[in-house]
Amino acid sequence: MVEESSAGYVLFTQAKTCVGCRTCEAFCAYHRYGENNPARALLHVLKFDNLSVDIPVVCQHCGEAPCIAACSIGAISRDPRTGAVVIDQNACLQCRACVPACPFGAITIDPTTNLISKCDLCGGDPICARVCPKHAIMFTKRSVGPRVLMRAANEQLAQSVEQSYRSRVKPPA
Amino acid sequence: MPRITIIRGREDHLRELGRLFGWAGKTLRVDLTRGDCFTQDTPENLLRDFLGGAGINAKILYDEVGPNVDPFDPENLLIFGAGPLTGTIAPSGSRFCVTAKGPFTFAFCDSNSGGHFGPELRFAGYDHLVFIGKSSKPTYLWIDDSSTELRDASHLWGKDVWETEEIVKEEVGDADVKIAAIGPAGENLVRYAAIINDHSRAAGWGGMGAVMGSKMLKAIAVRGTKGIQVARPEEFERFCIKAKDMVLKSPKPKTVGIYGKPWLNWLRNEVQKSNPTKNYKLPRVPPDEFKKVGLEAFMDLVVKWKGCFNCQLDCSHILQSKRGPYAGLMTEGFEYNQQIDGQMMGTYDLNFVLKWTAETNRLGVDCDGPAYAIAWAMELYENNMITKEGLDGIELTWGNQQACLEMLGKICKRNGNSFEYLLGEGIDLASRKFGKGSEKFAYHVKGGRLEIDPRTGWATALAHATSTRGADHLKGMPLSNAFGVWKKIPYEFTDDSKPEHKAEAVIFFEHLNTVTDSIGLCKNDTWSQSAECPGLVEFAEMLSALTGKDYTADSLLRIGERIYNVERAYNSRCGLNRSHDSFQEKFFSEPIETKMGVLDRETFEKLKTEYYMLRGWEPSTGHPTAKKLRELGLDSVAEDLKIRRVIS
Repeated sequence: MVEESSAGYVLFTQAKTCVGCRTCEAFCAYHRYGENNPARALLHVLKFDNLSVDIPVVCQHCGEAPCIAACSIGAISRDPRTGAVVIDQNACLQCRACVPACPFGAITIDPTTNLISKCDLCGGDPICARVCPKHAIMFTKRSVGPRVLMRAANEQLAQSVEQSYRSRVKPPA
Repeated sequence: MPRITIIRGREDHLRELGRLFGWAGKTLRVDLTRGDCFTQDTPENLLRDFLGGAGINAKILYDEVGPNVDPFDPENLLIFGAGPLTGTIAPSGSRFCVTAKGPFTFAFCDSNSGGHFGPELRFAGYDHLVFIGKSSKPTYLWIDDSSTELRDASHLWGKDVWETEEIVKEEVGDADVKIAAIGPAGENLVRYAAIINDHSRAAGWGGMGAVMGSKMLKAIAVRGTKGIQVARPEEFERFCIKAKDMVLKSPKPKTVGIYGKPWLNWLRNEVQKSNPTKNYKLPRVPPDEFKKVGLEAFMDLVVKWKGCFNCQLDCSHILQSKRGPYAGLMTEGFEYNQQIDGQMMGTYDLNFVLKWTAETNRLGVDCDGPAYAIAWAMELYENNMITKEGLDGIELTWGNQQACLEMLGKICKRNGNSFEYLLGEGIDLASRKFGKGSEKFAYHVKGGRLEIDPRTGWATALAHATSTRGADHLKGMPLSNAFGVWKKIPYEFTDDSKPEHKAEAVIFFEHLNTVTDSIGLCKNDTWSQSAECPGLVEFAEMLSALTGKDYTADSLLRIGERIYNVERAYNSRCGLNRSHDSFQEKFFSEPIETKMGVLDRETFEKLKTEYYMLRGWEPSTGHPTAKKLRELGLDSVAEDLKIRRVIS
C-alpha cells in the first residue's frame, strides 16, 4: 500500500511482515497524548488470530481523499509541508461524515475526547515507522517503498533459481 | 472464613497527596458464588511493598487462602495480576501473572503469560482480578472499561478455546476484545489445565485452568479505552526508548529473535548435551535424529514471526506444516517446551510438535503436563505394566504420534478409562496411585514436571529444586550473565559444572525474575535471559518515571526478596520443607555426558544448605526464619507461621 507525500516520502505497510505486536499503536497514542492507551492510536493492527494474519491499517493520505470530499465544511485538507491529510479541529463539526467515507476505515473517534481523529504523519516524522521492530510500517522514499515489496515477493523465486544453479554442479568423483 | 480479609499492615491512603501514576490502583473482586463484582482500591501498602503482578498476587494469596483450602474449593482464589509496566511503552510490557493454590503443588503456584490480554486489563482500569467462590452455572466475565458483567456461558461449556473466542467476540459485538479462556481440560479439572489468552498464548504452568474450571468460569473478555497515566511522561518515553534500543542491539534479535525458543533446543542438545528425551531414558536427542528437530527443520516451518504487546524481540512464529499427516496446519508456535514434549514421547518430528501445540492450545491444557504423563505411561507400557487392552486399544509405544494425540484428547475430555483419567492427575499423583515402583520414573519436583535435567549443572539443579511453584526454570535458573554484571565478577552461566557461587547466583535470579514478573515485563528480552538487555537499572529508571516514586536496582531486588519469601512461607505453611527440594533417584545415580555427569547427593545437600543460609532461612527445614521475615517487613507472615508452629 502506497500513499503520496509532497516531501517525497511514503508511509506504507506490509501485512505479511507484521507480527501483531502493536508497538506502533502504543507509541502513536503515547507520542500524541502522553499516555499509554492504544485505543487512542490513529492506526490499528487488525488481528485475525484464527487465520494467523495481522493487518496494520493506517490512513493512506490519499491523493484524491474521499474524506476531504465528504467533509461539508472543509475541515479536512492537505498539509503542504508533509503531504498529510489533516483535520482542523477548530472547523470540524464532529458530524462523522468522513468516517464511513474512508475506504480503509482509518478515521477514528477518540474514546477519551470523542473527537474525530486521524493520522497526521506526526508532522512529518511518523513515530510508528520509527518503532516498528520488523519495519512492517515504513516511511521511506516514494520509489524505494514498492521495491521493498517487490523484493520480498520474489525472495522465494530467487531461492528456487539458486537451487537450479546448484543442481548443475557435479559432485567431486 | 471472611470473603474479603482486612489487609494487615499500615494502609497509607496517599490519594490526598496526588493521583496514582503507573498503577491503575484498582482490583476487581468477583464473587462467583453470589454473582457479583466490586472494584476495590488496591491497598497502597501492597503497591509499595509488592510492586504488582506476581508480587501482589502472592501476598493476596498468602493473606486470603489458608493451608486447609483444597485447590478446587470455592475458597481458593484465582488471581490475575498485571504489573505497572504492563500495557505501557516499556519494551515487552505485555505480561500478566495468574496465581492460585496449585492443583498439583497443593501449595503456592503461579503462571505467567504474554500476548495482549494483560495490557487490555490495564486499559480497562484494573491491575488485578480476584475471583472467589464458584458459579452455580457456567459463566464468563465481560469487562468493558468500568462496566463488569457475569454472563451465562452454558452454551460455551464443552467448547474448545478457539470456538469459545469466536462466539464471545460475536456476543459482545467486537472482534478486537481480548479473551482469556479455558477449554475442556480446565472444565474437567485436569490438574495441569491451562488458561489460553489471545488464541495461542498461555498461562500454562500450574493448572490455573483447572482452578478456573472449578469455579465454573469459562472465560474473561475485556475491552479497555482508559490510559495508563505517567508521572514524568517525557522522561518515561526516553527511558523506554533507551530500553527498546538495548533489546535491538543485544544478541537476542539474531538468536531467539529469528529462531525463537527452538534455538534453546539446539543449545541444550548440541552444546550442553542435556535435553530430556524418551522420559529421560535418553540424555538427549540422538545425534542422528537431531537433524529432524534442529534449527533448519524449524525454519522450514516458519511462515512469519509473531509478537506480544509492544515487544521488540517478537520471538514467536506462525508455523505451517508442509508435509505429512498434518500438512496445511498453520498456527502460532512453539516454545522450547513443546519440542521437549515431542522428544519426551519419543517423536522426532516438528510437524507433530506443531500439531501438539495447536491441540493443547485448543483444548486448553499445558503442553508439558500431558506429554510427561504420556511419556511416563509409555515407560509403563514398555515394561508391560500397562497393556493395550488396559488402554482401550491404544498402542502406547515410543514415538506413536497417533496414540499421543488420541491419548491427549482422552486426558483433556476425561472420556477414557480410569487409567486415562489418572494421567490427567499429573505424574506425581498418578504414579503414587499406580504404584508398582512407577514413582521412580515420574520426574517432577513438588508435583510439577521436570523439564530440564538437573544433571546439566549445579545452578540448574538448585533452581529446579527450590522453585516455589515446583520444578521450573523460570523462577531461578541462571539463563544469562546478568549475575556477573551485577556482582562485577567474571561469570558464564553455561559453565554450570561446579557448585561454587551457584547458590548466590540462583538467589539473584530468583529475585530478578520475581521482579520482572511483578512489573509486567518479559524475561526473554531482559536481564533474565541476556545481560545486554534491559535490567534492574533500566527497570528502576522506567518505574520511577512512570510512578513518580523512587526506585533503584537495589530497592527492586529487595522487593523481589520480599515476594520470594512470601511464596516460600506459603509453601512452608502448606507443609513443604527441605525434603521436597529434591529429585528422583535417577539423577543422583545415573551419569550423563554433561560436565557434571551425575548429581552428587552430598554436594547437592551442601549446596542447598548454603542456599538456605544465604537466604537467612533455617537450613534444617528450609523455612524462612522469623528474623528474615521481620527484616523484610513481613512481621504478619512471621507471626502467622509462629502461631501455626511452622517456625519458632
